[in-house]
Amino acid sequence: MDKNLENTFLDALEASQDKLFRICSSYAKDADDAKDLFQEVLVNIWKAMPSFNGNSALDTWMYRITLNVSLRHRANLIREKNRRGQIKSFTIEYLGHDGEHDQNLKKLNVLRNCVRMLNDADKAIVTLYLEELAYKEISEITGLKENTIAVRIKRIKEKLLHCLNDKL
Amino acid sequence: MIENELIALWQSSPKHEQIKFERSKLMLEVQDKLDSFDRAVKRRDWIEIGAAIFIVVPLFAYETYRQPNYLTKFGAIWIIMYCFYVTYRLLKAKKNKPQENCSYLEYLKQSKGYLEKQKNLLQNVTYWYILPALIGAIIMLTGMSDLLNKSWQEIIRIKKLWKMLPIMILITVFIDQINKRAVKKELLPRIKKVNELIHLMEEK
Repeated sequence: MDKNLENTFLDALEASQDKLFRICSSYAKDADDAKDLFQEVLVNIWKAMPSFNGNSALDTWMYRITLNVSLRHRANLIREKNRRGQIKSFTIEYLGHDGEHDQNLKKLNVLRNCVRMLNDADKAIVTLYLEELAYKEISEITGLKENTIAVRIKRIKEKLLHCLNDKL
Repeated sequence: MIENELIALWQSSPKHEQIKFERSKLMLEVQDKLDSFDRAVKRRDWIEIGAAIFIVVPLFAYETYRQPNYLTKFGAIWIIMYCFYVTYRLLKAKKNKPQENCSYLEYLKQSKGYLEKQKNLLQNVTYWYILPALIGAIIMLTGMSDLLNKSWQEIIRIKKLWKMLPIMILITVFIDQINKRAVKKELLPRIKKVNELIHLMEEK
């Protein structure tokens, strides 16, 4: 294995792991599924690493792979799960909560469910928006024009807020 | 809830779930997973293609040499050519898989193109997979039974021929049906979904 490539991959992963995992969570049906999908994303990012040419920022490039793998993952879920083993050195620790945290977690779960209910196109855009990516970056990742993204985000936000207000 | 609260709530996930990994072990496991995937792909290719090239081709090459009848020799050569052709079609179908590192819209379009090609391949399986094999088998059978030098009455009396014919037809129908089923159950729903997504992405 190329040590430089390996370090670049691990550094980028450490910097973006929470963001990538959040995207995976919105495409997964539950926590286990999110973990499986995240593993799938890791393998695909590592597989594609030698082809990264620096035309875009590494994290932008990783978002692209995450979204594309997430899109494909659902169709192949059962087959992939059976075929491949689990990565054991990667874990997700769920933290204990007090009252305030519980309230926040409940809201977060409602938000995630509302995002899950969106169609895949809206989901792709809004997850990037919620990560506070600039429109230019979202445009590079999705392939849409910036003004289209702006209009679309406005509409999706309304849908999301409507869903949240209904459920909270 | 206002916009900033929405973003803050979304990004509050590390307060509830923390991702942890050991750098050195993770790399080994990721690489191992990738290797096992590559091995599975190679194994599948070997079963599909290796069996044709390394078992069927030598077997029929030997028949070309062994059989005295020229029509049988021609049938055996036909089957050999058929094996190479099927291998070429299968390898070609595996190319142009969508690239995960392109933009989401581009990935959808590439997926659509790839799935359409897969659909066409399976839908036309009768013409490129079944019929050429059947023609080769019929040529060989004609040569081996010396049918061209027999009268109709003699041909009708060849029991082996009438036993093989329905088997061949059944195999043909079976292969055709399982491929059509795969198109209907797997490919068409995926193509429909990808089309819907492209439409959603491109709508103003």
